[in-house]
Amino acid sequence: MEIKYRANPNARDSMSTQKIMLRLTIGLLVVYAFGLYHAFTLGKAYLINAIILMVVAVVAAFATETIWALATKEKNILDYLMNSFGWVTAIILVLTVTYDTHPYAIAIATIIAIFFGKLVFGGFGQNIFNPAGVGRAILGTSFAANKITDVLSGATPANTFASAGWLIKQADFAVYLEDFGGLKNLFFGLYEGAIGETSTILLIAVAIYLAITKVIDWRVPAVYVGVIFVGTTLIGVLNGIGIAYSLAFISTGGILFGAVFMLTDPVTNPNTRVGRIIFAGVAAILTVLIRLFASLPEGVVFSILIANMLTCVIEKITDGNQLDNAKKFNIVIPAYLVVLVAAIALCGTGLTKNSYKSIYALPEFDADKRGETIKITTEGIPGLDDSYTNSEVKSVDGNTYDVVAKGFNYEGGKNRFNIVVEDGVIKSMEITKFKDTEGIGDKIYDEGFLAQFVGKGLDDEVDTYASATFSSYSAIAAARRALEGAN
Amino acid sequence: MSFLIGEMRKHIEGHKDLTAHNDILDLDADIVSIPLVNGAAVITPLVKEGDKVKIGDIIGKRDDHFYVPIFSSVSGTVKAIEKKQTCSLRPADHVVIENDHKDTKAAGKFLNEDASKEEIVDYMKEIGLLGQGGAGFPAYIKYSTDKCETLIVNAVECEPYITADARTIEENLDYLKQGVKFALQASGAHKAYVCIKEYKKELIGKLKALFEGNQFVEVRPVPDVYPMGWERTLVREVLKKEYDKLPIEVGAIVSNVTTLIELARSAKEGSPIYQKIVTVSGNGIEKQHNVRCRIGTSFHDLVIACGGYIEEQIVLVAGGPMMGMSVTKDEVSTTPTTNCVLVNKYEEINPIKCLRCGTCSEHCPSGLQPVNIVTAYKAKDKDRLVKLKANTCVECGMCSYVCPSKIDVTENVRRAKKLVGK
Repeated sequence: MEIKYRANPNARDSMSTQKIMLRLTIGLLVVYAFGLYHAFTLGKAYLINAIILMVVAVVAAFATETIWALATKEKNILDYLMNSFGWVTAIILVLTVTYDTHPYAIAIATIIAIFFGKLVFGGFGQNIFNPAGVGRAILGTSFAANKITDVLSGATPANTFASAGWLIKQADFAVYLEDFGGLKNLFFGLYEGAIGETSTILLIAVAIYLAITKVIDWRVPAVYVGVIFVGTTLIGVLNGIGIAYSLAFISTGGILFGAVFMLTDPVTNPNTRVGRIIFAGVAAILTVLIRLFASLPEGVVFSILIANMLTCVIEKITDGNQLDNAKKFNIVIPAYLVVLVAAIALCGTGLTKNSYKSIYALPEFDADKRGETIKITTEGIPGLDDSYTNSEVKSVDGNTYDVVAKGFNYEGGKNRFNIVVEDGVIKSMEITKFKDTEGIGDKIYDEGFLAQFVGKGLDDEVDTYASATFSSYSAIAAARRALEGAN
Repeated sequence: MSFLIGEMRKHIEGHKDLTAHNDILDLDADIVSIPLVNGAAVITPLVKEGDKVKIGDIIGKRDDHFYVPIFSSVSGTVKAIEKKQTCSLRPADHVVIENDHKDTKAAGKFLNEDASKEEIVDYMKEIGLLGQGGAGFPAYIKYSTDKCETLIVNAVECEPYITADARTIEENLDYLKQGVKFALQASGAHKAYVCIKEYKKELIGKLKALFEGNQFVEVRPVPDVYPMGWERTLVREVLKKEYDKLPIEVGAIVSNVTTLIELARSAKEGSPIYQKIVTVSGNGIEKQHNVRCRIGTSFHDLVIACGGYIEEQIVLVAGGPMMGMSVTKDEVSTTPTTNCVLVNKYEEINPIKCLRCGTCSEHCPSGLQPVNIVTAYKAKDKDRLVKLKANTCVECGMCSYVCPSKIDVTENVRRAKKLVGK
């Protein structure tokens, strides 16, 4: 029998860092599962890519850490990998990118996140910046254009809001919301955006799970989102939009995701409650400032990284006995939060109210460019009759019609159109060959002129383009041919 | 408050059922070795080899700024004055006495039930009454004040495993009643709260019946959290007050329940503390029991009385698992303040890196920031350690207990305290 020495205490709680990271991983995977479902609704290619991205990122994370462990001569590499929690960074990173991100871009971002974001600082627990934040910043600034396809419009609620200057006229705000399925869908999350960032409801639910299981301090997301929400509500109210403005503001982009998964990273935020409240407040005001006044579409990642830099300063402020601090900060903290909210509202006064057109809105055919209004099937107008007689469907590919029709200059050849017909109406129409007079007839390239055909059937009317009447006739005749061909 | 500061306490697994309902064993050791220590002070022996002693004979005396006599706990013959390991690991002189099992007592020192404040305080000094909670602060000093308004009788026993106080109460309800009366008289307090963990329903019932009709005494159930029995936490819970160094600053005296029982027992029987109930528990011994034993009984004898060791590698702790000191020899013997001997199987703890989660800061009952204290200690940043008030740590063990990365935070803070102390 041997009596061993161990300094007190001789008891340990059952909670462990490994358990914390397991719960965090579960939370992330729930969000990822929703992302996969969302990808599935967008198309098989996106679903596959979303899976590939995750595999690539996790492999890249483990590979980077293994090489580091070998290079630094770690004794037990498996132990090192399991206690370095690199996969968490990889998963977070994947959840912050869009479905069409190129796998090589995520691989590079992961390697940079793990290596420069964490390992060079001395590994887990030593890093100053949130590693996933570092990777996301690199990805956003250097690889933003690397997409697997161009099918996704890239019009997310956040960057659409951003290009509208983050303030839309009261009358147009509903149009903006409707483009993304309304506030309801902004909360539910089936709209274009990053894999894990779209569903506000789900992120709130996961945040509650993580807060109850003591994985995250609820104060961080509560203060961060709360300050932004109250501040932007004031902006919304002052501009007549009301609470819909702030609800849209917090549910677009990465605010919720960043609040729950990145800002709460214990390694890179202060380790006292007071410190974390100050920290979250700094990130909140920075997010709003970047969104409203910087050229970046999103402010979340950079606000987190900048707040990370302030962590050690904040900890200096809160050094000392926490009981003394609580007394000191009892008044300071509420005042601080009020000042932040007021500052955000003040920022709002620097914004101009922009008008907003639906991203799905067709180009307008200006009134002063319009000529006569006629039915597509009108007969008896010599020029139009001539165009129709001299038109034919060259080929049909599914519901896409390749049509030629006589315009002004028959000798030079007929104008050619690509027309998609669906359910008896035109879905899209474009000019593939133009043979009329340059500078006159080519006015029918006007987006508004062509757009007026969309949604039109054989019984509908369209306008000619004033001063390009014969070229207009060729387009009308071609449309009639295609519609008749589809009947 | 709780929005800006952590809960500063936590429920921890009590393991009290191991001993709460088992028989109390009586151990009348053949040899006792009474350590000549009181806190950090060393005491000079007043007996020599071959001397005959009776129960209650003074065998050593601390006589610096405190007066603390040490008594013989058996009748018999002094065999030697020997240096042995003590509960604090430091070796010190022990008076080794061969017990003749006759239990002859020295001339009694009695105290009238209606004694005055001065008489009680003098009596406390005379019988060397020490706080039985563990720290062993001389009771007469604590009660030499006229600023006390509230008496807090500490029956919380928040350390896991220990049931000695609860068993002592059960066995000595009458002495408790008289002890509280003495303490109210001596302190000048107009109100006494007998604090006990709220889950001990049966004992609470007994205490309520005991103090029925006494308007000065209130039985006050407190939450089952650690370190509920620490003065500061208890005063915070009961009086909602904070103090700087001592509870008397907010008009409170906190006394352990066994201290008061022993005061009343001594007063009636005429002999100072010579035996007490010690919890012998843990998963490293055959049977767990409370053992009534003489002061100076070796841990070895206690373990043998409980069936002996059953594990190859054990940790032997003088006290509970949270604050008790790990000793490396079982020759260590009980002192007047020992309330537990814990024998647990030794299990490897594998720390990983600190994730700076601040769980230690959330739970520190002193409101300190252990994570930052450790960082500052590693950087040898004395100024920051002073700012962080590292020296006010009481080493309750909470930070190590809650650390999810299993880091020895308490030990590092202890080192930080030494660094600041220099």
